[in-house]
Amino acid sequence: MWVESTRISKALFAMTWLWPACESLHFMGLCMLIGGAGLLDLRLLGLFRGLHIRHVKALMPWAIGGFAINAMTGGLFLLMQPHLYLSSAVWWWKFTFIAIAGLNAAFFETRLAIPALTMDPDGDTPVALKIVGGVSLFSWFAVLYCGRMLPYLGTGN
Amino acid sequence: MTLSRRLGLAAAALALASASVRAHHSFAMFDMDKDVEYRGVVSEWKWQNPHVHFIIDVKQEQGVDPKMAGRWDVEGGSINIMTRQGWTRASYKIGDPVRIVGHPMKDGSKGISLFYAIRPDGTRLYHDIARPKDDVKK
Amino acid sequence: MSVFRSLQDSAFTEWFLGSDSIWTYPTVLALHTVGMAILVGASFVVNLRVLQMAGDIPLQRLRPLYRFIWVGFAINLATGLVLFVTQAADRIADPVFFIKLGSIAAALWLGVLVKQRAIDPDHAPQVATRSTRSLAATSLAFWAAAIVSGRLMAYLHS
Repeated sequence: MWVESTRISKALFAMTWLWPACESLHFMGLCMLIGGAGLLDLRLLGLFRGLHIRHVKALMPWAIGGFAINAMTGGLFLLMQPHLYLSSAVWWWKFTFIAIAGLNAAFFETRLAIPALTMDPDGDTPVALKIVGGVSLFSWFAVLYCGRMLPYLGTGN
Repeated sequence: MTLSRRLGLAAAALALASASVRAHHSFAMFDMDKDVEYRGVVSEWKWQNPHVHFIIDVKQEQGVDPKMAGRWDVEGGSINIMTRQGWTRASYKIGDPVRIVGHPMKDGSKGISLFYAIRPDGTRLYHDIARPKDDVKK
Repeated sequence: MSVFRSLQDSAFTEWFLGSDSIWTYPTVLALHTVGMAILVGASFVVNLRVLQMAGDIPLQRLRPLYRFIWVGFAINLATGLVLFVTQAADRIADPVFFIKLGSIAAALWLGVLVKQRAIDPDHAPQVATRSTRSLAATSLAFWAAAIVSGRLMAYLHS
């Protein structure tokens, strides 16, 4: 692809250690993301009853940080070897699930954050919150699965 | 102190491990810009995940660069990806002559990242979706 | 023949690595990543809170997270054993593999110490002691080391 013949793509790919380093960071980022977002999702699903949502939201900057690390390392992978991803159905599925998770999170933040913060922390969570939490948890694990399956279900690497 | 200790240990681990990354493998270790043809005989054939591997013996012959002669470790992709490109467990076996085009290791050791094999009829058996810029539909 | 060599050359290994099904090697590998996300993700949340970097969740409320830590560990122990069998001889001679295992053991053990000191006691202070916070930070560092060495194992096949 034309991107691969650009100087920046070649220069990055020529740094032998960069790809493995990005992979390690990508794995750390996903742990931060699934750890932080996961706790919120489990709380929305009704687990950790008695824990106020505002406590759980304190982890959001870290979850977002993990996502940012992965967006950056992901961008580098794409810049170095675009043909391996853009031609792979599994990668497009991964991207789709990221979009679903993102839209779901935006929906929560704009429409359901106030009800979540004001609800009784000792009661069961309302259905709307359960659905949002479930969609989020499922989507992030789907992203993880698609990513891990790239060398097998994808078209290369 | 806590944050820097954490980062310090992680950095140490990364550095320690990076030092030994030169040993093998990652396709970042290969010179992906070089397409080199190799002709030899299969002496080992490993049809397995995560990477299909085979060893080819390139004979010391007239007209062949002496540096090319020897035992080369050819690395392909996963069984699943290669199968989709037309490879099978029976594509090659020990003793078969083989012609491949691949990318050699940057450090000069005898490792090749497989690009494609050339069948006896001249058609190509690619490792994955990547195609050379001047690919002629064969 | 060593026991590790016979495991690596076994019929099971041949079948498992030579299978063209998605449900063998690729799925076990994916499950290993899922286990890691659960194990390290939960550990990350606990340690971050102990380090006073994640708000003021009452420390005792972190106890259920340890169930997830053990579930993640169980998934990875099981999938890890399967993967190990198929590379037993190569791995037993691989220093990076031992760095990974050592890092995991250290990270888990430190996590248990953090639990005993700061999370289990009903009247433990909501700000953990400095020494406990050191343990939490070191545990995180070992998780980072485990991830890096795990990733680099993939680059050191024989």
